[in-house]
Amino acid sequence: MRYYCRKAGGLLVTLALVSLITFGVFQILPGNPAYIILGVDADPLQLEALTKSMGLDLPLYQRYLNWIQGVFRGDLGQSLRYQQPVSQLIVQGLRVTGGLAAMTMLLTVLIGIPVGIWLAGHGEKPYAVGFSMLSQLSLSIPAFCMGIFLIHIFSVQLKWLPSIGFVSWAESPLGCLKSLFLPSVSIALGSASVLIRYVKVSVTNQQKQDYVRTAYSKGLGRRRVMYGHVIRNSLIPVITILGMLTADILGGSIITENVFSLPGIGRLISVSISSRDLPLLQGLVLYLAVIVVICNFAVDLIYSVVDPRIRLKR
Amino acid sequence: MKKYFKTMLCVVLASMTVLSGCSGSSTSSDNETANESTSAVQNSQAETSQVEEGGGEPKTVRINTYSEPDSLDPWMSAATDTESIFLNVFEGLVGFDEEGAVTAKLAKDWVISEDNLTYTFHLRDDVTFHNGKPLTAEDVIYTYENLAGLNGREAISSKFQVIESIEAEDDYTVSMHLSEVNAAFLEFTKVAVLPKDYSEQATAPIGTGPFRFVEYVPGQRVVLEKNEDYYDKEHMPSIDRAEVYIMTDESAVVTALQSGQLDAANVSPENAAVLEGDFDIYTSPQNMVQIFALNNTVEPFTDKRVRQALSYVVDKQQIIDGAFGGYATMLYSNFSPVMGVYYNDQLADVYSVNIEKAKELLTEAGYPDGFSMVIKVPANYRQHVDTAQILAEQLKQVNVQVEIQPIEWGTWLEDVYTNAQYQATIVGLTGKLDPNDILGRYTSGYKKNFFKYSNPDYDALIDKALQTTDEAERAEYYKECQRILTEDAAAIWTCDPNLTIACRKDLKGYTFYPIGFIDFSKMYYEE
Amino acid sequence: MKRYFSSSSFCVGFVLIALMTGILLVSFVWLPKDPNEMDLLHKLSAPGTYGLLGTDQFGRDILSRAMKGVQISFLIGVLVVAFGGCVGTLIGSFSGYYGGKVDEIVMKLIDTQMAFPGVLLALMLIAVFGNGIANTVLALTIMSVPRFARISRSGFMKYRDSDFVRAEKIRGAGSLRIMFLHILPNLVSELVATASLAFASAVMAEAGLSYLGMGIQPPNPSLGKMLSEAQGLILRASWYVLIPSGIITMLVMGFNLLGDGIQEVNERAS
Repeated sequence: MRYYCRKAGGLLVTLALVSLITFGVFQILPGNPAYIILGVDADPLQLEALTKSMGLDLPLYQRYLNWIQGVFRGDLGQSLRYQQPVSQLIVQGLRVTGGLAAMTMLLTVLIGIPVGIWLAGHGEKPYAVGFSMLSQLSLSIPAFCMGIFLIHIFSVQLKWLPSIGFVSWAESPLGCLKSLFLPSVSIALGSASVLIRYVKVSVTNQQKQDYVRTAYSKGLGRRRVMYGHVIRNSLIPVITILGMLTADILGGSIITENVFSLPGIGRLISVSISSRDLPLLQGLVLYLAVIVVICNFAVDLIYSVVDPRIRLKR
Repeated sequence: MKKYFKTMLCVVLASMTVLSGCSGSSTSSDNETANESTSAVQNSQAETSQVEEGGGEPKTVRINTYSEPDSLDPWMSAATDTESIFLNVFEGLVGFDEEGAVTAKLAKDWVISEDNLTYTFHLRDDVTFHNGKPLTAEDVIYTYENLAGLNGREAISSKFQVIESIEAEDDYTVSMHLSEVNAAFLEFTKVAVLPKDYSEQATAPIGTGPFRFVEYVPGQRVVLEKNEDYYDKEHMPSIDRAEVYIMTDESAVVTALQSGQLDAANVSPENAAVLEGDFDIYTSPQNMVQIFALNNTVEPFTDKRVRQALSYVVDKQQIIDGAFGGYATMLYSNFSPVMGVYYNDQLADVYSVNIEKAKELLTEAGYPDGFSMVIKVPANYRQHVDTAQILAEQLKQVNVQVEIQPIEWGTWLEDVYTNAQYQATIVGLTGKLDPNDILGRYTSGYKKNFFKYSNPDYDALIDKALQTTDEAERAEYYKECQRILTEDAAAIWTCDPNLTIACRKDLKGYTFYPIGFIDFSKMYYEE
Repeated sequence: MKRYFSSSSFCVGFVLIALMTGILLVSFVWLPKDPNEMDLLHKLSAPGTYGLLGTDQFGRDILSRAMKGVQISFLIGVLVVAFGGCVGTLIGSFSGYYGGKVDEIVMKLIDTQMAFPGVLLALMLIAVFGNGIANTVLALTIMSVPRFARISRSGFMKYRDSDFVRAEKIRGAGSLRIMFLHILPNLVSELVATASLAFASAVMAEAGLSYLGMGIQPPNPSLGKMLSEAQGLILRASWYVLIPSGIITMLVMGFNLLGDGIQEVNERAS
């Protein structure tokens, strides 16, 4: 139990640090959000009114405290850029990014695990080497390039799939899948390659273990050994990688959403940075950090359940 | 294992076929576009289905914009891109035509007193707001009192503080008294008239225009819908619905156009050249001025001769060809020929490219070996960054070493535009209908005069022009202003980049104005 | 060294990097043309017609710019790996060797940093410090520190209780001596692998930042900048986009494979 408490405590400290850093960084950022929103044609009186309505005249620590208090009440404040509650914007963005991340994760797992296992079984045979080079290649193409290539092939040339915009699940489930397919492929190709590598290494390592030799010597078939023992054992470390990949996928969505004009969290992030929308950005970063930290926490938990030695070590 | 893998492969392939199958079945691209738009307009179809439109699908125009609206409330908004959409929703007492000339709108006519201080507007009596409320003098008074700060609250716009008092003579007549003569005042009254005591403008804006606001999804789109009750039957829109997609990446815009997800789009000349076969391309000067601004209070640009020397070096044609694909109009002062009568067409020969002359001037000014300078460019404007690169090459000819510093737009607005903390910059200023709004930027009293240009003669001339109501005389003053700016080389004006629109071949009627305005009411689909 | 060539990943990576290093070395002594010289009469000419790889939107020679771009990518990669590697290893070594409170605080900070998706952190840092090579390197360095810190931390934890360290301690060797003369050499191959992977992600991150309009200043031809410029012209000159993206891919893949290969061999050995 103490182990879990310590972990949860650590989680809170991390989140507090994240919020403090985001807040701090943006205090030294040049640029007044009121100027950015109104642009070069602003009337001086409009500027004055907007600056005041944003509450930018309060002292620093006051603004931070106000914000943190709000967070605990579930109120992330008002976006300066959109004049809407931050939490509402995040929920809207989440519908897109959540779907994108889920689909990406699904594709990653569907591609990564079987291919990884297959590659491990075939070691250094030429076609297996060729295949792992291919997966390395897809990892090495910048995600936005991949997005652009996919758009050109599937949207412009073949006209199979849309290149922009998002259709919500409620409007049309098929439309939703179609609008998220290309962006999630362009992220998943990279993250699947990472997964393939880990699965391959993990399976290869397990195959060398003593129990495998024992199992074979007991006369079990190759198939039984692989599915009954090796794969089950080797997928445990892979859970950690899935946790890590969540952060990667969320990071990848920042760029990919811009390529595909998807109105998700990633798009909100780039808008909030360029328009100095501090409340929105803080909300977004906090939200992302919470997800990443919770994923890591969940990985730790699963791990400690699966392998009690870890819990006892500390 | 192998079997598992094969199954996986089948699942993936099958899912791809399903995903692509839907649109793959409709072969013609026209069909596909129609399919796309039906699904997008489903919601509104339910609302508008009772208003029948000769049978068939609602006609939708889907177009792009590169920036997020700053605010839906016209009193809180200043961005040109926002205005170009919402001019369809809001109308003022007066309107403007393709040439920028004032036309009647909500006011059917007006009378200006002898002393030019009292303006009396006669309103149309058949106008209703989108919420069904009829427009009366009360709404006009509400609007202008707020703008000018006459109701005890703070003024919303400094321009309108020139109004001293305003009163309704009857339900459809309003008169305004100015504290001083202002020749530009009639232009000002194109400002949106808003319904009295309606406080939801920022979320559900209401105006009198040919289109009603339907929704704004941040980061995604703004949707407008035909106003079936529009009073001006002659200008009744032909299309039923307008969707403006907010897209920041131009290649995304082009692919959306090609894959049939947009009907029209604002694209760069390079892309227009490629799209030409499949789309109609419309291009026109847009009354924007791209400026290579030199801070007049920072060494070495304090010296007029240095600024003039650079003016002799800059080859504007190269910039037009290099950064704008040839689609731009060369400028010689801070004024585009789009402005018609006010434009001074005698300045073309003041600085023609002359490296020898430039070197002479630099030597006179004490820089025979050149100098080095920093150009801060807003990084999000590709064409300005391109221009900076071309300028850097050109200035090498007189040993001026240029360091290009791309900065974020937000930083630019603060450091360069507001605080004038810069040596040189490149920016495009969007056009205005009133010459005073454009040339007034160079007066020493103007708060955002980031050129730091100061010339008492110029200031006096601008004041004089503002108080002259005689059109011809006023035009002469502004022409003189342009001449002074050019001779002082207050900045280097390169060109007015064209606005280039690619339209689906059956979409007609895209109209250009001297200010940013996507006029949906003039667009129509050819049968 | 020789044993690494038994890994096919290492071999392919080695060849790719050798190729890139070749281009790099050639570019120091010879470039076909001045990479910044414009020739607006010959803009966007196809490969082979005017210059081996054609010209860009200002008529600049793409081959020369690509070669110069490889220089800048290497500059960024080397600096990021050098700074990030030193700082990260130093932090990780103390944290791993001493453990306890120091370790806890360090790990907390690293966790905090890992909670930001990489691009986001770099974006925020560049928004604060501004564009330019120096600031891009700074942002990417900060991104790469935890990687090195984690690797060296676990290495130091592994060896701090090992027999040879105990023996050294009994002999009276100082902590610093043990850490950097006895433990560190054991970690070199792992750190080299990490460096190689960090190099690849630095090149990749630079391309991503350039796409979002941040990063290196023009007219400096960074590969990321070329790519984002070419991407806007993909319809007009589709081959242009292939050149920088091809080089980036080869660089990234080379270093990824090299790092993977080293790790693979290390794992096999242990």
